Amino acid sequence: MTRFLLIRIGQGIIVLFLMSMLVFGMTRLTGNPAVLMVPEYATQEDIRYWEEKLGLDKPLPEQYGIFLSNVLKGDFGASLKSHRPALEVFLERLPATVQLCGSALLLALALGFLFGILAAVKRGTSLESLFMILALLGQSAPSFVVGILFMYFFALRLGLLPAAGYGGISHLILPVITLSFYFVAAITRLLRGSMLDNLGRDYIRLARIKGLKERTVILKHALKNSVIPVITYAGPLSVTMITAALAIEVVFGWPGIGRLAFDATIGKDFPVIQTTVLILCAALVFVNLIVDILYVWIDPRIRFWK
Amino acid sequence: MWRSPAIIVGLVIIAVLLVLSIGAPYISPHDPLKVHLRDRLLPPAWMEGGSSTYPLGTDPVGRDILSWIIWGTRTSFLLSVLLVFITAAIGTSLGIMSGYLGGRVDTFIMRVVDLTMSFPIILFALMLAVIRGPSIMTVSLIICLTIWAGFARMARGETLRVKNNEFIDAAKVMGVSKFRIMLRHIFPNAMTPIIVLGTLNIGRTALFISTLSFLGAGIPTTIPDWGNLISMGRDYLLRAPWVTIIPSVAILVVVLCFNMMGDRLNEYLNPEIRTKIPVR
Repeated sequence: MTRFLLIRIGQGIIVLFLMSMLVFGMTRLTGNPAVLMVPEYATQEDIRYWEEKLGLDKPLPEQYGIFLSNVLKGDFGASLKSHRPALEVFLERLPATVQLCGSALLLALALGFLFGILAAVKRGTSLESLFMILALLGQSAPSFVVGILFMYFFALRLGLLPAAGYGGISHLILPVITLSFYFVAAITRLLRGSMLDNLGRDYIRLARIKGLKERTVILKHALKNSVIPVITYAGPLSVTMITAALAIEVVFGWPGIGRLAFDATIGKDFPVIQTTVLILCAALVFVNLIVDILYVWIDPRIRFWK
Repeated sequence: MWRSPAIIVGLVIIAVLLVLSIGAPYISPHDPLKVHLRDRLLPPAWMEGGSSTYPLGTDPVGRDILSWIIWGTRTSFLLSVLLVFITAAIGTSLGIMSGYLGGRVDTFIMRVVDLTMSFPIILFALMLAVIRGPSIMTVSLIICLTIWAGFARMARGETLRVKNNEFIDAAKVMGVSKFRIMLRHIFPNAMTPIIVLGTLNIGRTALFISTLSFLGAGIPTTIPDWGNLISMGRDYLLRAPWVTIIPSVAILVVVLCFNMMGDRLNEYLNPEIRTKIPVR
């Protein structure tokens, strides 16, 4: 197990390394990376300052070294808009995004498991069809489209909830429902599929013959084995969650990373975009590491080491 | 399969989209980029104040929404189909190679696949948009890099299933080259699930493109696209909801259509999904 952990952590570090090379490579696409770090109205001296700081007169490997040491020191340059360190701007917006994604994740897990189990158990009923139609819709609608439609009907038309902004629980409801929509759909479909697969197996028949309560058979025996495919998809799903959250924050004017990334894209604020991409990628590498460990821990049949 | 209403409806929608995207210059009533400042934010013809000159109304600078939607099929539908075809070809070739050749090639390709699948390549689109400005090329590149891995993994799995069959051994004994075995013997037998995956991925790609366009990192606003129309109309949601709601519904229909067809195709091609478990 220790060996597996070490290998897996090593791989994570390699991925982070590759990612930093990719970001570094991209900044060299323009010809002069120093221009990316300064506002449009910058003087020649400003540009020369950055050329020197990035070491542009030195050979490429050395430039990469400088880039990496700046990143590790947390020096991502200053936001072109607010003239404050990009990292500071990023960290300031982080709590709002964590709040949004965290709430959506909890809701998606709760509803996804409920719908997935019910759809499998109530197979062939109209309840199953209803869940499956909902799931198909949830996986087909782009998150920002759902967000705009929800906002139009529930906030602007019916006036039930605030349309946008940041504040109490009432501001949280629409964005969280929108964000969790896709994931409820994904979890419902995955769980229903694997539940149906497991419910047809012999060990479930044995459990029933043994006289176990149906509830125990479903929740303890079948469910336990059915969670695994859901965990397999946790990695790709977390990637989707980040992109969906970006778009939803823009729709609802949520002051998180998504809104920050959007403003930075529109305003060509390169230092902020670079910070956002680097940190989010690193976070996802970490999430994937956790998922892999969880995966092995939950299913003793899976062994990546010998 | 041809009796399934989902498949028929899906095919009809695809046929319509195909005609619209290819015949856009002849079908669309106006130049989608032509600004009519006097006719800003006109509602669709069926609403009060609408005019039949602009059947679906106009956007904040008075461009005809119907024409924008028709031209938008090129980026929102045709581009997705093309990208999925190209990417499926690349991903499938790599997957078959990985499965058939095995060894180091296999380990390497599969590591890259795992990496791609859990990596937010889409975020790099934002960065490229800042560095080089949004463009169709950037979007296409990012999407190819995102979706190829699914095809590779699927093709590898199918190859492993097929490769131990006797007809493969027979081909080997007859001295057929490795390349020819992969192309003529393995590929045709691995194709079915790849078609399903491709169908589902067209919907996913359309979803990606529109999300990127909405975020200002996709199709530039000088090219008609459904995602960027939504983004332009968003500030007028209360005053002129049609500007956003019409393209939203269009995207929803396209993605839904491909997802539904993919599902049905999957059920049809893998009947055991339906029949394996008896209804209790």
